[in-house]
Amino acid sequence: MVIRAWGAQEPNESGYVTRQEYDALRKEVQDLKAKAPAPEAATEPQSGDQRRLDKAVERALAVAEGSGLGDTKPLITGSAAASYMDPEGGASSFGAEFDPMFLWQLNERLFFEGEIELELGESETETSLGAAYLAYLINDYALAGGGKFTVPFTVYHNHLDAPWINRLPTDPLIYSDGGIAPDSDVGVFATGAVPCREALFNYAFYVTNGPTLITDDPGAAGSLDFDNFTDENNNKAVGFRLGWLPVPALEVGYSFQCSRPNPSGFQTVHSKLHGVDLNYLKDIEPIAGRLTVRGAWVWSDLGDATYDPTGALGFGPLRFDNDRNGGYAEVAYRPTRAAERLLQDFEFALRYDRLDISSDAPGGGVDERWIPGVDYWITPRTVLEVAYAFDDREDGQDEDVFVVQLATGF
Amino acid sequence: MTWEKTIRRILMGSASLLAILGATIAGCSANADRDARTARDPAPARQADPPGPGSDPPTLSAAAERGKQLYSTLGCQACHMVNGQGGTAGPDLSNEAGKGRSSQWLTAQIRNPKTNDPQTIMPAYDQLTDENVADLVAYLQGLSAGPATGGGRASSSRPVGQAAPAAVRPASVAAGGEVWGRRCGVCHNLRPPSQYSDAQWAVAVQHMRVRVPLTGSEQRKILEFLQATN
Repeated sequence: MVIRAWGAQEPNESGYVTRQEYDALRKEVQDLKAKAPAPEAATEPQSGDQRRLDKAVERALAVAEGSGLGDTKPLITGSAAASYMDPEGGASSFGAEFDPMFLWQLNERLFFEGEIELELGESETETSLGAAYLAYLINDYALAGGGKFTVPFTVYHNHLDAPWINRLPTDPLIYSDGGIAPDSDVGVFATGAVPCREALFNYAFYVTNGPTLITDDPGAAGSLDFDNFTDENNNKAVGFRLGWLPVPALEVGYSFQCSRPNPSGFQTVHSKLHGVDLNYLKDIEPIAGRLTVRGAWVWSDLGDATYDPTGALGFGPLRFDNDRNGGYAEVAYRPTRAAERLLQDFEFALRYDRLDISSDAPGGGVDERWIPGVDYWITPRTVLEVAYAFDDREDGQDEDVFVVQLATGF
Repeated sequence: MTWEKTIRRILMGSASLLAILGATIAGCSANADRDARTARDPAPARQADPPGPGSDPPTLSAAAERGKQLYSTLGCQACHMVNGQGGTAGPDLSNEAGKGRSSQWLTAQIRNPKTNDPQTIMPAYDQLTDENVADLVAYLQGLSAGPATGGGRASSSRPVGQAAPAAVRPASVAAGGEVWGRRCGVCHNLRPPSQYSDAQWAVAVQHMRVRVPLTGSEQRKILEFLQATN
């Protein structure tokens, strides 16, 4: 016979329980009762529908957990547009463009943006790399990056040129092909914003390969090619933009860029670009709607040079004053508080464009455009735009055009 | 210039003028409509104008007082302006009764804004209790109605200060909404927060931090708001 110490908790093989075991078991049952769900809920039989639903939830949870993307967060966004253009004296045509953006948040400080621009050309799809840069967030007020990025020279290309943001379906002349402001380039940048009481200041500094001076094209000699992404002469373009938001609805900025854009073998030419820009948007009760005012002016000061000095290219020697300037002013009104619901989705825009190039320069003269347009906002990011550009050129080669565009940002 | 071009320019010019005229009419019609509603419903019309900067604040009913607290706690002022204070992402709410907004309309606007406007970016506050919504409606209607007013119609027995805690969002969320409207809305229309998931908003807002640029504080506030309301 084994004598157990009083109070021991080992199993009792006699078929009876001790008082201590009884009390312990009783307490355990009471605890379990307290924790158990209400009897009706616990005993209620599950219906077939309930079981199927539970299984479906289990499967969904398993799929959700299995498709987790880890710490790297991607996002595909961008814009697309379909358009119809009817130029006066030319053939009308439909067009389409698709600009997907691939964004990755690699961690809290590292960010990558890639953008591909797909557009229909005359006989094939034109593809270009809009952006491919990596940015590192240094602190709350500064970040730096490198790669191919939108040059922060005025705010148009960085903020306003997406087809669903632009209130009109065309770019201002200074930002179009043959314009005088840079779009995107390859290099490094540093940017950030600093609050100061009620105001906010922002800044951007950059160094890029820079534009190239066109020297051998009889129709464009003396102008800058901003789409040439290789450095022709080992001299980089250096620039900055300083922005100021005195009140939340208004931002004004000043931009500067200098470079030596002449290709190797051509005489040295210095380029200086100055730009000012303004962006204002406000809901105004007395006019029962939202008013948007945007504008920019750019001065391009290119050093004088003699193009085709030997006459070998057939258009020289040619020398001219190579100062260019131009800009735009745009006003848009959306009756967001109109009594008629339908009217609230319309927006009316008017833009004045101007580009002055010395009349002695190839392609020179003054080009002015008035572009009225009407937008219908199908959703906050999808808009149907109808506009007509009244073009007035000094040389009489006006290019009036009627444009309809359906654009969306996704 | 050919005669076809001249005619085309005249036609397009006329279209532009019509467009601008339409805009003007729209603006006028909004004011005219408000005036007409005011004329049809003289009771709120007499008290339709919100109090001016120098005037005494109206005395609100108990329900409206609770609604006022809830309005602040939920962060409505991040997007909406009342008597000159608040954000601009949404419409000014100083005169809702004067605009002819019924209790039913305001209730629907709070519970599920898309019933009134399918394109609205306002998030649905469907987690609020009926009392919460009634208090908010009382507050908004009381703003327009002036002293000792119509807010009483929606009164309940619950004392002031007992807004449902479960519905409350932190003040930082409200601040994020204000920054979102101010910094993002100045360039483009704001998409409804529900269009992206939390993870997608994290990427999108970091993208805008680089593009705009935003400060780190603005980035965090905007993200908190979008993730809380999507």
